[in-house]
Amino acid sequence: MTTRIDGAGNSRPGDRSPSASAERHDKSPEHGRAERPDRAGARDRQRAEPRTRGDVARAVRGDPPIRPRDAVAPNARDGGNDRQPDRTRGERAADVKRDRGEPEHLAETRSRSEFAKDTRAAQPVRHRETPAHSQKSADAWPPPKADQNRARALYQEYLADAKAADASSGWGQGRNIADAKPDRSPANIDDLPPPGDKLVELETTKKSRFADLLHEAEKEENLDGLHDAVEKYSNTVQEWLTARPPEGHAEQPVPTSPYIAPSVPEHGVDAGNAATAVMVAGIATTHLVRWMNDRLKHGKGDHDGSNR
Amino acid sequence: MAVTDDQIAALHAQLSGSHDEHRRLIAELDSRGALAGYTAVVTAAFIEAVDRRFGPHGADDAAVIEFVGDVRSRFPGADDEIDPVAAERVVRKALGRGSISDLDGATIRRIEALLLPVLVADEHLNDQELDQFLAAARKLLES
Amino acid sequence: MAVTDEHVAFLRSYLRGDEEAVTRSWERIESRAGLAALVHAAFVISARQKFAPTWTRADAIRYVANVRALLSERLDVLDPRAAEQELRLALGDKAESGHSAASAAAAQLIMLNALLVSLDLDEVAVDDLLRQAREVAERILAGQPSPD
Repeated sequence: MTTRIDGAGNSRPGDRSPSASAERHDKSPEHGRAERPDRAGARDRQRAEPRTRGDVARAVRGDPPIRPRDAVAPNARDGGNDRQPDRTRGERAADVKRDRGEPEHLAETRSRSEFAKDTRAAQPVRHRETPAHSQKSADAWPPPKADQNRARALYQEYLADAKAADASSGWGQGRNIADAKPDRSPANIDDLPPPGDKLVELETTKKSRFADLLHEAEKEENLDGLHDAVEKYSNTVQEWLTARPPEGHAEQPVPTSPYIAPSVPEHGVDAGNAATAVMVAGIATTHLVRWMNDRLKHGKGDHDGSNR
Repeated sequence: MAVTDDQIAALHAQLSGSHDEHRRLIAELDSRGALAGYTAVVTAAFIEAVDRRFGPHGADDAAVIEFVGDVRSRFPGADDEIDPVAAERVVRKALGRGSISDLDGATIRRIEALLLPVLVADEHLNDQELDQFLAAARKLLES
Repeated sequence: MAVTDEHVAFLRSYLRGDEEAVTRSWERIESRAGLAALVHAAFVISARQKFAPTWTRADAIRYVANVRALLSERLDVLDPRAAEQELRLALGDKAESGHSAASAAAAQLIMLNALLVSLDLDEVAVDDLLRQAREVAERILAGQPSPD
């Protein structure tokens, strides 16, 4: 049984489009800072030239455009600052934040981590139903739980719609060129990797599990005997793994007679003690019988002879 | 935690089915006094293998029981070699459940050494995947 | 030494999961000697019905594992090695018993329960099995000196 990534090319929730990925990792200074000026300076030339990543990000998010006073000033003398000499960088940053509805509690230009923290604290701005483009996920990784849940919900909606599509068209959910259905529902994501924040948590617990188990495994370790032990286990495993099937356990006939020879050992004790043991066991386990019956019956197909 | 390439190579040989090479490398490590820490290598690989087998969320006890029962039933003599209750407890411990403080170290090491190659064999890894598997185990050792 | 009606009633109550009836039956049992033979015989008969016509050691191991998996919320209920060994003995294996009478008794009782579920026997069929078991148990007891 493997836990490999699905190689069937099925899209999975949480997958990021390249553009979303670009936005996520966008470190352009417009996150908390005014737009970096176009070094060429001319507005016309700006229009003709490709937009910056910040421009694209803003357009996708549906953010209000940078106000004229924040826009690139033509013929800027210094390439790194806005061209509004009458306003400080902090003031301009505050303007941008106001436009976006962000808190303005920081007068000075903030660091990336400060901005990310503030953004997470702010109300989310929903511009589109594409969480990958949400303001928060553009800045923080892993994305907030709300975004992740939204993504999953949207994916489920998508699958539900797709399933309802006309199967005879050949493009309905579950159809492929060979007209064979997948052996499991695409909506079944049980075996997919967990989301990012969960992965971090799992990694931490994995390390602590390793440390705990190693602590137990190294108990009473005698290096002098380690070689012999390793070799012995290696030989055993080699026998197991290289044995050719169907060599395994020999088949034996079940005795047909119900008669049991009187010499059947009573576990080395007399019949009276054995009977007492039976009764004690019977009393002790009676209260479990109803529970056992329930488990055994509901899982009847599991323990029945199906795997004999 | 210090782990040597030679120790990883020795385990790699076993898990790829090169048992003679595995024994040769182990003997060589022992002759150089470089076998210390091999238990950690096996344990790290065991954690990785158990996680792969039982998934990121850790399977329930029924799955562990079925796995151990399957291993013991599959190979002649395995039912005598592997105590089912102890083996189940070691696997559960690897999954972060239960306690094995009353089990002696030799028992735990034996169970890891016997179950790990079977777990890996069941994954049917190719060379690259086996390398990735051991790299993941190594990451545990070096963290 | 014989298998009595009280012994059969005790076992029947146990298999039905009737706790009160089990306690009442226990109080009515005067001689306990036949009870172990009855339980053992019922267990052997049901095991042989379940695994006929042939079995392997692997079958026994897997069956016990599957039963324990179903009862996994109580890992202590069934000793797997005792259960496997009792099953193998019931199916004609010549292995030596290596566990206590208490483990054997609990293993036989729980496995009997599981085997009857596997065989999907109704009450009439269970009564018939218990009748057969009584006959077999009495034949066994006839060959042993009475401890009472």
